[in-house]
Amino acid sequence: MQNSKRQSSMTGAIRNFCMKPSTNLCQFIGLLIICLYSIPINAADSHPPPPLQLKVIDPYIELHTGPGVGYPIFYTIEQGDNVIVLTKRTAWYELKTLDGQTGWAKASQVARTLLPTGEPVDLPSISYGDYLKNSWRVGFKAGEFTGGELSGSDTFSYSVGFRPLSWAGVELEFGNFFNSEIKGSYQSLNILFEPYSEWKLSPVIIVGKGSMKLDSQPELLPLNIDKNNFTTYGISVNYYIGRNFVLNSGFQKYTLSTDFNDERLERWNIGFNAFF
Amino acid sequence: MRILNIPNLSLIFFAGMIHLFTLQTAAAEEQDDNTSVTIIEPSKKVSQPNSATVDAENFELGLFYGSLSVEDFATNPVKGIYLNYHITSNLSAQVSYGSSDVGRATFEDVVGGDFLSEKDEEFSYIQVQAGYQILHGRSFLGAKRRFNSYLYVMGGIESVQFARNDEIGFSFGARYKLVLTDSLTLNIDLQDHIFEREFIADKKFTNNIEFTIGLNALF
Amino acid sequence: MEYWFQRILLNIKYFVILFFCTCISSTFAEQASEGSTIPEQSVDIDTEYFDVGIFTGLLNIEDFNSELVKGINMTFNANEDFFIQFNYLEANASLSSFELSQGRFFAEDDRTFTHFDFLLGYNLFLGEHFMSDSITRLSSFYLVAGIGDTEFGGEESFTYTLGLGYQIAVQRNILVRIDFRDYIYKTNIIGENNSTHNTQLSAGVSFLF
Repeated sequence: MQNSKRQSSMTGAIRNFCMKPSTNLCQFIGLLIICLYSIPINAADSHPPPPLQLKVIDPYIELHTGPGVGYPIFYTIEQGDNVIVLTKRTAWYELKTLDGQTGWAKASQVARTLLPTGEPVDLPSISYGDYLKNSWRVGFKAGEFTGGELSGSDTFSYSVGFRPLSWAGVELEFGNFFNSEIKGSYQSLNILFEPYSEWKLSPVIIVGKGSMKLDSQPELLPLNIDKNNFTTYGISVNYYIGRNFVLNSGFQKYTLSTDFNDERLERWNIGFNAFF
Repeated sequence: MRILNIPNLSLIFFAGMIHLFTLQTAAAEEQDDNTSVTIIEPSKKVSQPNSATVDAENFELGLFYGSLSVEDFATNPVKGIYLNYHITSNLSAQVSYGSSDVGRATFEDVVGGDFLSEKDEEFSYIQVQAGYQILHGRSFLGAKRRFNSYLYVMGGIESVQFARNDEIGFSFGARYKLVLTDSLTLNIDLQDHIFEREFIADKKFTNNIEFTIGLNALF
Repeated sequence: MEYWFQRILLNIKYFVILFFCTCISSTFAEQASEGSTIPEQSVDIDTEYFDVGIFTGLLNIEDFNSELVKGINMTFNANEDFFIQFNYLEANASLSSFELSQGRFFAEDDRTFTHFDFLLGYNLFLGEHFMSDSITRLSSFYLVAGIGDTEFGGEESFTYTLGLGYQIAVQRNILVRIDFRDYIYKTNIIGENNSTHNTQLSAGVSFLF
């Protein structure tokens, strides 16, 4: 009883530091502001670039009143007209004609335009080819443990990965899991083999090592910290959904070495990754 | 270039046919009579493409269904009926009745006793609300369908019965209305019911969040 | 020593900011990398993919009081139909009617309802609306669903989130949103393994950049 009181007061102290509402929210907002300030430095130059002017070579480009296929078309730009590109949102460009009409056109239509020099414009896009060149990846996964002691626990995890070769990469994964009696966390370092990464739907083999910690919940019960190492191996499938996003779904087996024996766990998950 | 609605293309077609017919008539007349030329002006009546809108109809009668979260209790389905009258194009008044079967709270299950009788477990309200239109426009579903849509701010007074309380409370919220056809509208409502409630010797103002979807007939 | 792992996990939200920042920098990076085939013209177009905002509203915590909730969110618009949103919110639960008469369920420290989630959103209706003047504003009515984490009453639970909302761009770069959310998770605070629904009605402002 004494031990649990001391433990709970220690966690209480940590909690107070980390989870005090105003402190936590302020820290979060502070970090967010720092991140946002660092971004414009990345993108903007010291002086704004000249507006991009393009010449239409398609028979026409339709201007919608908003960036969506449902918005009505209110103007048509004819072949040979010049337009200025103002903004890009999702797969739409905001164009302005020389007589002042402003509207939205699909990126696919705008891509077939020419620069004033007569060369085709090379507009920024993430096509499938560009995705393969990107080597860093962040993502999150959600799933459930289906085998072993933790069967029925929901789990979700975040990961950061680096892929130096088109067929091999490494990732660091941080996860949490919960069920009614136990909660816990795990961290693992995984190596991924993706021999056919150029396929839209491609298989991945994962092997890794990490450690897992179990806690009981709710915290009214005495804290029971068990930290164990594990090795994992599994298979998953990556599906490229466009731009620089990939969905994946997989199954992994964990072998947890506890004091007494080897605990075997199984987990399936679906996940979402962004490459950059 | 405005894209015209398919149903109205038929009207355009007829207008065009009438135009051609009158032109032909004029040409025929010209051929017959060399001395006097009668020029018949075709009536230029191109009807504007219009999505369904609430124009001459003033009343809307509808049914709604959704979820109601009762403070200190759980979230349960709510259903009801409402009658709406458009006073002006911006202002509307509504009378509605809604009820939800709240059931036992979890702590009643834990303690093992009933704090409320079965009858008192029903949360029901009779409400009079005013709605003020703050936005009007069009909404598009995919590439083909468009509906006139409106956003209203709603506020009202209601008589609430729950947990042996029969109190006057008030509500505020927002409504997103889509005009589906000339006689059917869809409302998506979010509102908060605020009323002072006494329960286990604690009297306080309670907030109860409600989300409903309702279908109305215009007449 | 073992607590530093716990600290990392408690600060998982910082990794989420990292995730969004990398998304942001990736979209800027794609602009910077292009234009390499046309050396004389650097193609630099203003993009508007992200918005960051704050929101406030009411949260009905099941079996507890309704509380004022405050939060922040970040949204990445992937294409005209879909977007990804991260939300973080907090509310302080005061003593419920039952607790006032029967005694507290849990300690003061655990009375903060903290929740964060990742949502996938779908724009069901895109629209253009007119405010009192004749200027058209872009708007959308959307549905969201996702997963996240809720901490309340000493428990941390995997949470499903469902919701819907309406947003209107009152200015080119400023969005106003009205949202409804339902956070669904299993709890053991009162009773055994109860699936709770905690609904939230909120309004927020976001800045699109």
